[in-house]
Amino acid sequence: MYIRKLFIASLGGLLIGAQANAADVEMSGYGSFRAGKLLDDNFTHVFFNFDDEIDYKSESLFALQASTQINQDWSAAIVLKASGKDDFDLEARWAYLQYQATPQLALTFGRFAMPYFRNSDTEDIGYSHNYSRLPTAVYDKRDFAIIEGVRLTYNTFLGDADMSIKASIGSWDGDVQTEFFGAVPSAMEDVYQLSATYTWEWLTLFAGGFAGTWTSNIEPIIDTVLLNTLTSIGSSHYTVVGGYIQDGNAVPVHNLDPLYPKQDSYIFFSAGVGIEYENYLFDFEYARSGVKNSIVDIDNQYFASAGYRLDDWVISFVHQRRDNDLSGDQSRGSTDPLVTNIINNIVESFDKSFRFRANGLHLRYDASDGVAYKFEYTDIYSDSADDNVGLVTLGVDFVF
Amino acid sequence: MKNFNKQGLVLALILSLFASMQAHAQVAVIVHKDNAQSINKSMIKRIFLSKIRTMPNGVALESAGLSSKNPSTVEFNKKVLKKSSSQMKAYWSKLIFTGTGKPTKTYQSAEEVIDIVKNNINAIGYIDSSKVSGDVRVIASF
Repeated sequence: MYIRKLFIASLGGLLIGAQANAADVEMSGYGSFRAGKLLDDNFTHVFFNFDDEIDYKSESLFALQASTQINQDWSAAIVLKASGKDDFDLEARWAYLQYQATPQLALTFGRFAMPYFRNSDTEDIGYSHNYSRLPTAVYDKRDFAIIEGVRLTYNTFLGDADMSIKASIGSWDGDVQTEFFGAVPSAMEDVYQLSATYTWEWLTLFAGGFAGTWTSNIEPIIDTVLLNTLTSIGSSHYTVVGGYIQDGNAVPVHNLDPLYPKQDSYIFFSAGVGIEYENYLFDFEYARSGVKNSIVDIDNQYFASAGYRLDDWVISFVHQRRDNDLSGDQSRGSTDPLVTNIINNIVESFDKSFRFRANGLHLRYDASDGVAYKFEYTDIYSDSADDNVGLVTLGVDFVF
Repeated sequence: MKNFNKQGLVLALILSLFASMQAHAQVAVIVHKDNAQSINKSMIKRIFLSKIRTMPNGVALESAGLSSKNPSTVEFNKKVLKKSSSQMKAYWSKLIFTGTGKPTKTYQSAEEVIDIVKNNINAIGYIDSSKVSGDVRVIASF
């Protein structure tokens, strides 16, 4: 954490120094102002930031980039972002030094967004896509998408097609927001990311993913939830000792290690296809992600969208779905049927809180240079609530 | 009266023809007059999308264009890059904020673009075909 702050401060100093000669620093920025609300108070969902009160804050953000060319090969940049969801506290989203080794190969050092699926490194730039927000079944704005490390970008040509390969190594630490447990302090170490994008005329193919070692500081919360649940059904004689549930005779009946997300493998894989043929637009992306051997089961995520561009307007229909495997691995080895049952129920409730499907209509209107108005109506079905709710958003995305 | 109508019709035809020519004014891609390197349409597209950053001889190039509302830019984006002005802006936003590319530097007039190109043997630009001067070499017209 200290090294990160020191690096960002040094980079800021470099850019401020460069600003002494204003021509050396390029300023640019992007942002969104978006209002939205759910049309009734049936439920809220962790992947949709709104409730039944109109909200101007959750998806509004403003970002400013300062970049400079240090010499022919080296450049530096910092992107400072203020997000409504963080009370507009300023954070360094990107802060990096870049070495252009050859015209095709660049190395980036510092803090950056991982390109582990097609638009993951630009997902907060609303102007760059046609949706009100990228489909959250896949683009769920994970905080750990921003890592500190090294990134390699290699671009080449295959006949008339372009190929871009990106690879990163690094680590992350911070809080993960969950509906079930609230903010959970977490860390991901030894992150290895690889992705490839193939573009030919109107066709784009993408595949990517990453793996890392995941730990969430959630063990005391899981223990409490387990014991409270057991007590609530009249089984207060269980205790948790040393990562094991013990029965009234102090006999270990369940190893909690397969439930704790502690030094476990986080895996993410995604693939997608994008078509932009004349005025017709089509996108499909599929992803699988989760922490093996933990309460966070593997999620299956996808969206498909079809759109049409008419002059300054783009209309898109989006279908998206997020589901889990429910492997049952978390209760393996249990010798107590009651504990097995309780754990399976807790895992299912936790994983169910992520599940949803939604169908939405998105409109984009390019009003003027660098400014786009967006409208969205999405019908959301939540598996945990077993109910539907409508979401309406209206906003403006801009770049400069 | 008939003559007046005929004259009016001819005038209207000439004006509409002129307007049509204006709307589809040709765009010329220019390089330094001593730059004899072969640069085809596919390379031109990649250069102005920041996918190629060197001339065929391997030397870093400088690309020069006109402002986004200039009719030559609109025509160039449509015919060569196959994108509208807002699509171009969205494209550049992805590159600028990920450090993977920089947009072509833009100028207010064809004369400024010609100045850049005639003073740098590794520069390439586009301008309205009618503004081409003897200081530069046209490598493609669209």
